[in-house]
Amino acid sequence: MTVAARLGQSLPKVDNVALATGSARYVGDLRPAGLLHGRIVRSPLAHAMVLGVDASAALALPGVVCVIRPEDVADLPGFSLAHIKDQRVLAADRVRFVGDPVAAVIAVSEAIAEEALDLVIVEYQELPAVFDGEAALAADAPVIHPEPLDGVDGNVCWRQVCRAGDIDAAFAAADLVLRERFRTSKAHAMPMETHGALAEWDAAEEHLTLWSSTQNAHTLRDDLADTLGLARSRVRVIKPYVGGAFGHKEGLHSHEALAALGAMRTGRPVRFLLTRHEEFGATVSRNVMVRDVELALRNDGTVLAWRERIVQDCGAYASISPSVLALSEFVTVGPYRTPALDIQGVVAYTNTPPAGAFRGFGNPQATFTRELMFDIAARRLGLDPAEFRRRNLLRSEDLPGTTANGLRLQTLPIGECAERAMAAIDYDGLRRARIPWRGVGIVNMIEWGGSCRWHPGYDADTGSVTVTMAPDGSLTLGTDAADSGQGHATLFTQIAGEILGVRADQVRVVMADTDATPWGLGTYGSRTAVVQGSAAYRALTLLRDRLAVVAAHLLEADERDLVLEAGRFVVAGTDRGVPVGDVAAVIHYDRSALPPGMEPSALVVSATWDEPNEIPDANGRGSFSGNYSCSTTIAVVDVDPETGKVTVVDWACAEDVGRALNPAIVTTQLQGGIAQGIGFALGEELILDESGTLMNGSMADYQVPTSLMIPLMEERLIHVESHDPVHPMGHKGIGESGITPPAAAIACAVFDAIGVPITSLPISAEKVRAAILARVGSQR
Amino acid sequence: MRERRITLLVNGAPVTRTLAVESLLRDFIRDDLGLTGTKAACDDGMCGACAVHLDGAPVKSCLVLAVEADGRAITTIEGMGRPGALHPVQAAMAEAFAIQCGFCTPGMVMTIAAFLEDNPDPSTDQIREALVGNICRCTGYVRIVQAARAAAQAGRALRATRAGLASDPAGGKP
Repeated sequence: MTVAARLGQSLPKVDNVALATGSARYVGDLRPAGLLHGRIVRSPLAHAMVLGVDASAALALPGVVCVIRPEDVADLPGFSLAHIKDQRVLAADRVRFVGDPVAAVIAVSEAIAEEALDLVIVEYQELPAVFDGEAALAADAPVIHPEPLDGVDGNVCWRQVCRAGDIDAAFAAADLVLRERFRTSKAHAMPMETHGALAEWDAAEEHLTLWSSTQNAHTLRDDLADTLGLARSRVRVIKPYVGGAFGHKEGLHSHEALAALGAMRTGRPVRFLLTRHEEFGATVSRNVMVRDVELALRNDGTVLAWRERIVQDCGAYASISPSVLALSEFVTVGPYRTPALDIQGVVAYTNTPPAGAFRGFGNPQATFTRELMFDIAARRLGLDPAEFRRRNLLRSEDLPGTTANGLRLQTLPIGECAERAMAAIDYDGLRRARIPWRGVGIVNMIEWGGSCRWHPGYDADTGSVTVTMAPDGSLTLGTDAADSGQGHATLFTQIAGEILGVRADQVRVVMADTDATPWGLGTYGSRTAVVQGSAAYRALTLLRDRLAVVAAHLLEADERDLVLEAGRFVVAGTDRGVPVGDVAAVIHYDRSALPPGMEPSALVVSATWDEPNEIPDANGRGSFSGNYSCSTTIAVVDVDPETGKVTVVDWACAEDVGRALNPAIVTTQLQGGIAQGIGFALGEELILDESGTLMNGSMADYQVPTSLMIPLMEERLIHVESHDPVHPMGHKGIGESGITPPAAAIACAVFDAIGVPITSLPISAEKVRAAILARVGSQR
Repeated sequence: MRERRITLLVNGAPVTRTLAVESLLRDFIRDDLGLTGTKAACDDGMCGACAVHLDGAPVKSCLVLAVEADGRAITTIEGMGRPGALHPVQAAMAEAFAIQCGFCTPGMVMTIAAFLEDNPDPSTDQIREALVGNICRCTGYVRIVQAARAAAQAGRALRATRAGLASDPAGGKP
């Protein structure tokens, strides 16, 4: 490439060659000399006291190097992704789900470590267990965390409200009040690469290095150092290539601490790679929510108020579930005028595998609930679903403005999204066609496009970038952002091209290495393009200004007259110019050529972006995101009335992206999210038996979409560009935009096809068939 | 533990190793040969990330014992293309934005390349059928199908050029 990449261009991914040829190294591909392999002994019981761990037989097996037992880690503090520090490296005296870590075996090979698992004898005293969030809230339910924990009361892990307007008056004034119960499923992110971590301990330097398949090198580093009692600067976390993350590779996990402890104890590198079964059964899944809705309406379809009670199951540990509930509530009323709302939710502990962050983070559950409720209302009122929504959508005259629950909106082109999606798929034509067993669903959503400030532990929503220019004008860009396939390095390369005119082959991006890149919160919540992207914009602009001062001096011109063209500072309107590389060389090497008083120096600029959002108040009011995006999605499905099988036959989505910085990456992010959302809608669900044991913890049994299940959507994925002013490049985060609408859109389409709403996810063939049979029965 | 000595061609080069008879071909490739481009993502043959070619035919290397490759030829992703000389399927995947995290990519490349050998002019539905044993969690498959279509087109164009050269005594020169 001879010219710099710019914003708005579909620059091919800069890591394509490494990924296409198989040379990209993931944590399981690292091969340090003397590597040892760890495996975790996990509880076979959902709730029990641990009376003792006998490792003698395991230690006698040739090739076993050490066993880490609960008493070895009893002094280490609790940890969590959020503020309720209810997790231990190994379950100390109590196990709380089938799969809870009890001990770890470290051996010279994976096969020997696996063989040794059965030789670790754990004595348990079984306790009564509870597997359902509502049941866990009963007065006589077994208490899962009797130990004192911040704010935890019985099995109530967290309470969250979101209230605004005069709810009682609104219900009193309603022509119609509808009530419905919705239930969402325990889906799993299932990245292709399971969790894994490799640790090396340098005893002489007292320095730990951990390579981990993670989304947040710095906060993982901080939590790991705190857990081990090391200064944070003595721990280096490096993210190698990561094979998908989708939210569930956030923060510190037991296997990371165990790899570190194993390396410190043996003096050799130690790696833990979770098996696919462990990945399903012992890493976080999507929170199950039971949502009881009351909707107050006027006869013309105007929404007056939304009242809702939510019980959210977090499984055995809180993780970041409180924030999932909070964000879910904050977006529940969507891109609609809703003058009054009263949402009260509880996060409940159960003896099931922990739940928490998974792409969408509470919004898929909220959007499914709201949009299917709206279709139930539209049908009751005899209104077309699109017309019902049109009457309630936020309008351009509402902007800029603030919603009832405090979301500050600069831009939100939901009307344009609806029009363009309907036109793209010929919505009116689909309605007129009336093909038997074919259904059309149209849904709208609102999404945090500007990250989110909802970590109870800190009032910061930051990401950072350091740019270092070498004396030849080439650039190293370091950031806490942690790519797991999104194309971050490509985006940063384009931003550098836009601001400094550097070509892609002059830019090296280093991500998520705590000894080499600046501190920040990493990658989650659709934030990297907006947070670290804006930090990059800042850092590169500051660097350009520094270069421009020297360039102006070299050209004997006014700095304000300079423009950057093809890698050169040029005096506007003339052919006089100097290459950026020459300016960089002067700054490094040549005091005599510099402006008077300026010394030669390294060219390093750091910048942090703290997203302009706020922690909502005690009533759940406040603008938790820097900006908000929106979309309209239209799904077309065919239902087989004999089997109940649902097939997605067509799809349209108009998505507000702010500004598409790399249009192809935006489209492919949406496509991938939509595919995951279709899986969530139609079948993905972890199933536990009555003892809490996972029944479908393999890729054969947990079925994610294959190439045959996903419509080949391309031209009907529309980028709506609102050029939002909150970020300097005008864009919004879109990483989670794809996965949020599909469950809602498919639920509405199936309702349209069969005339009965399926109010619990997934929309399995069994449920659809049962609903069809029940309807036929009731009509006889 | 019973061991056996096997000799095979790996990406065109002869290799002789002694290994446990129960070793999976996948683990032999990754751990004994150090060719880590072949990925392990499940243990039950469902995901296709470990696909390689055995005597030119695509196999999931977690479902094959290494000793079954004795006397035969295997090709892994490392034998398909290299920086500056990508295999047409790799190039098409890159151009189509069909690669996100990359963990399924080697298996996808092996599966598509073998499929196109037998089906140089496939329909879109045939491509979707051919990919059903390869799971991708990032892309939703849309761009992977596009890439396979583009690679098929490029392959046909290449063959047409070669055929033209072969039938033209002037070697295609005017």
